[in-house]
Amino acid sequence: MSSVELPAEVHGRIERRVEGTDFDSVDEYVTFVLEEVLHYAESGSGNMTDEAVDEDEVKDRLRSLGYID
Amino acid sequence: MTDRRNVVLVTIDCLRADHCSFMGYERETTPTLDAMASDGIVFENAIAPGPSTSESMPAIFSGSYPSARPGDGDVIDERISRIRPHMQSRRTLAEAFSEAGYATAGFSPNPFTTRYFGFQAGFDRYEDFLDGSHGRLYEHLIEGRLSNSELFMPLRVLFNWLQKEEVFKTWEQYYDDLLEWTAGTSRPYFLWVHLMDVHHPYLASREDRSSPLWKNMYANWRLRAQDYEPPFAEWVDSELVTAYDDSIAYADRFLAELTDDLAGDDPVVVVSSDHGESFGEHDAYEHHGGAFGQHGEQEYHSYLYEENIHVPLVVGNVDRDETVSDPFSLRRLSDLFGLERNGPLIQTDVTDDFVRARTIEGSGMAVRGEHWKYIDDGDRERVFDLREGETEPVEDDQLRAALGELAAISQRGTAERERLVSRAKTVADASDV
Repeated sequence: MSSVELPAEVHGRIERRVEGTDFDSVDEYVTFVLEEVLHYAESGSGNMTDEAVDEDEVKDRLRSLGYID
Repeated sequence: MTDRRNVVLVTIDCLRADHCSFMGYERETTPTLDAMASDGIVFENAIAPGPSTSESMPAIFSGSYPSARPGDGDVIDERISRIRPHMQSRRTLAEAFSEAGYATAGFSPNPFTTRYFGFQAGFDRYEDFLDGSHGRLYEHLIEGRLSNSELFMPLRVLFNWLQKEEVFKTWEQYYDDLLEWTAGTSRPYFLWVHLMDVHHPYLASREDRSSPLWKNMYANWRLRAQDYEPPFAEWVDSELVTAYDDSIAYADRFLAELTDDLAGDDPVVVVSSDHGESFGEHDAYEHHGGAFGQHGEQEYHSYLYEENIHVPLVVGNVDRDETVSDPFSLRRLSDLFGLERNGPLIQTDVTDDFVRARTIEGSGMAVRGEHWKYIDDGDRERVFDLREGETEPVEDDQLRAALGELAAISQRGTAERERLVSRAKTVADASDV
């Protein structure tokens, strides 16, 4: 794990959002937000799921297992 | 981390805890797992994050539940649009091992754990069997003549049952590939194998089958033909349980072969499951209660009873004879491995007084303690004393309110995550990042 510093005011705002939820900490909340934002920012960088996989092939297999009618 | 032993993780799809003999089952289904349990670490109350692979494996591998995303269409597409971006943007169990210097390999015939869903992340070698391995007969009969016919899917399913192909691949069909990889790779290694041998149709090998083949096939077919909806004739119900148990014995033989063949590597072996299986305990069978309703005709439902979410968890070959009775959520599987901590590789201080399990959209929620369990199925909240089973709820308003608040905390977290995901997507769409 690495540390970053947040302005105390931002930290406090996140603390209020975390309260009463199952986010264990401000750290977890911030990580969640950044993972989401980075996901969209990095889309198309070629580092994502293998797009060459045929969606129909996956769905046929789900159908085999009875997941799709 | 000071302990850098090889690690083998085996998840056996659909294996419920109470059908393992070391967990008290009356039939001897799991002799190898029993032996591992007798001198290893047993988590008596291991709970799957959800009641089916798509509701469970993403949380097991990433440590968190996929959020709903504004997306298109039918139920299966909605599920895909939840899981893919989630797995793409989270650090997975395999990535944690890889970053800790492990060579990594994964083998799984389950379509929900394919590259398509992002499960290959962190693996040096990943085998999801999507590239096909059919013989010419298959191509000629199925893909050649019938591909445009209504018979295509039923025949493909039947052919795959008989040929043990695609999702019905047995462990024996890729076993040599596992050994080849472990023999040729660097140390330490992390190997994950997800067995489909206990998944419906329950087709044990001849050696493990304890009833005639025709009975086995008929019962399996009935289950599918009725779209998993009871009622079933008493003998069909009984045959399904027998076939399921035989399949467990078949999967257990995988563990016997593997631990024997890898003895020289002295790996820590962790065995668990992604969810359980129903046999009519609460008027449901199998684990998805019908297909996803691609055409809107069937209603998908999932349950959170013990048969659905209580799974085995054994850590074998560790020379630590321990029994852990506090609940453990498989969602914390990466915490079980002390990859970023000093000390032993296996950490047992990862339990909680209460753990949660939920359906994919979060409308169904279970809060599971060692003895008490709360289930909110969207229509009603109930508390059960697990020592008495899950038939008659306990009438205790205080307990129900307290456990209900634990569920509410989780639901508020889910709502906040969905807000954040939706905002992030809206901003990304608007700015076209």
